[in-house]
Amino acid sequence: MAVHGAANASLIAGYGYAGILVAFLARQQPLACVPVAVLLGGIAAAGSLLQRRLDLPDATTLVLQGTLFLCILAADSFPARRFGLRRKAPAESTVAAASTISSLAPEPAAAPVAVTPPRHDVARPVASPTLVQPAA
Amino acid sequence: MSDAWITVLVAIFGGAMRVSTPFLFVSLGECITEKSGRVNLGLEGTLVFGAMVGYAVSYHSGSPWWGVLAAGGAGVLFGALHGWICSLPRVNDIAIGIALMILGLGLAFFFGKAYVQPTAPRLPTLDLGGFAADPALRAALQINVLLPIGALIALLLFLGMRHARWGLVLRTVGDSSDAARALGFNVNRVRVLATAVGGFLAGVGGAYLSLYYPGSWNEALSSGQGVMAVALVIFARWNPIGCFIAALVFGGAGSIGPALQAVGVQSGYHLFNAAPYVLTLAIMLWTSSSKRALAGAPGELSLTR
Repeated sequence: MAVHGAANASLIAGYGYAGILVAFLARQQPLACVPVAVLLGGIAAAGSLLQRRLDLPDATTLVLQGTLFLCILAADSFPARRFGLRRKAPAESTVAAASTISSLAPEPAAAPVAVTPPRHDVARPVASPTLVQPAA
Repeated sequence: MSDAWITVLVAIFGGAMRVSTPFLFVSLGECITEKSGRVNLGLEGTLVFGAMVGYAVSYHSGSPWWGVLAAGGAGVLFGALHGWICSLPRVNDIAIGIALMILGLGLAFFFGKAYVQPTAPRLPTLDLGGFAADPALRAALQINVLLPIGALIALLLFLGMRHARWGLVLRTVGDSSDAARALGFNVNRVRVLATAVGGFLAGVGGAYLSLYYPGSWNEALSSGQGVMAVALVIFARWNPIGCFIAALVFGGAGSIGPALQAVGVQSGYHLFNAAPYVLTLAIMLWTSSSKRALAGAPGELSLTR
C-alpha cells in the first residue's frame, strides 16, 4: 500500500509466497528476517532499472529470486559440521549472525575457504578459559 | 422463471466443462506426488511455464499437440528438479516448491514476452451437442479433447493405485518410507518419478490454458489454479476420481457469477467469483474432524503429519 499508494490488482505480486521463503532463509529468526527481506526487496525493486538500462524483461528479478531461493534452500543439505563447528565459540550472537551469512553463500566451493582459517582462532579462546578457570 | 433457471444451470455446466480441465490435470499431478509422500507446491509455476512452452511450440510447429507434449516435457523437468533437490538430506519440500513456483513464473514471463502478440493454433473441440436445439446447451457441450483424456487418466490412476503393482509401490513409499525401504524399493527414485509425472500433468494443464481456454498467452493467464489444486487434492481425499469431481464442482462454482450475469443479475458479480473458495472452505470444515486424521492421507506427507 505504501509503495503503490492505491489498492489494485497488481498489488498481488507474489509478496506472500516470497515472504514465506524469507522466513525460511532467515532460519525462523525474526531479526534475521529484516536483512533478508531488504535484500529481496532490493532485487525486486531492481526490475524497472534492468528494464530501462539493459532492456531485460522485469521478470528477470523473479528468475533471480527463484534461483537464489532454490540454491540457498538446497544448501541446507550440505554437511552441518562445516558451519556447526563455530557454534561453540563464546560470543553467541556474532556467531549466529556469521553462520546465517556464511550459509547464505550459495557456492559450496567458497565456504571451506571462508570457514577454515577462523577454526584455529576459535579453538584457542575456547581452550584457554578451560585452562584458566581451574587455576582461578 | 424456470427458463432463467435452466439458462443458469446450462451456463454453470458449460463453465464447469471449460474451466475445470486445468484444475483436473494439476490436481491429478499433485495427487500422484502427494501419494508418494511429498508435496510439490511449485505446480503453479509448472502450470504457467507449461502454458508458455505449449503456446510457443504450437506457434512454431503449427500443431497444438506438439505444444501439449512440449508443455508436459517442461513439466517433467520441473518435477524432476523438485524431486531431485528434495532427495537431498534436510531439504524442506514445501519451501523448495514455493521457490520453484517463483522460478517457473519468472522463466515463463522472461521467455514468454515474445509470444504475447502472435496467435498459435488452438486445440480442437469435440462437438457433442449436435442433437441439442438450444444454442446455449450446444455451446456448453463443445468439450475440449483434453477433458475426456483427463477423466480417463483419473480412472486409470484410481484403478492403478488400487490394483496395479506400481500403484501399491507408490502408496507404500508414501505411507511408510521405512517399510518401503525394508521391502527393497528405492524410496527417492519412486518419489522423483512420481513428482516428474505430476509435473507432466501440470504442464499439460497449462497447455490447456494457453491453447484452448482462455486460449492465448499473457502474464495474467493463471488465476492460481496451481495453488488451488493442492487444496482440491486434500478436498478429494487423495482419490483421483474425487479429484475429477472436485475439479468439476470447483469449475462449476466459479461460473456461477458469469451465469447469473447472463440472465441479468448484475449485483455481486465479484462476490460470486469467490463462490468456489467459499464452497471449498465450507466442505472442508463440514467434513473435517478433530478426532480422526483425514482418511486416505499418505502417512509420510509433511502437510498432515
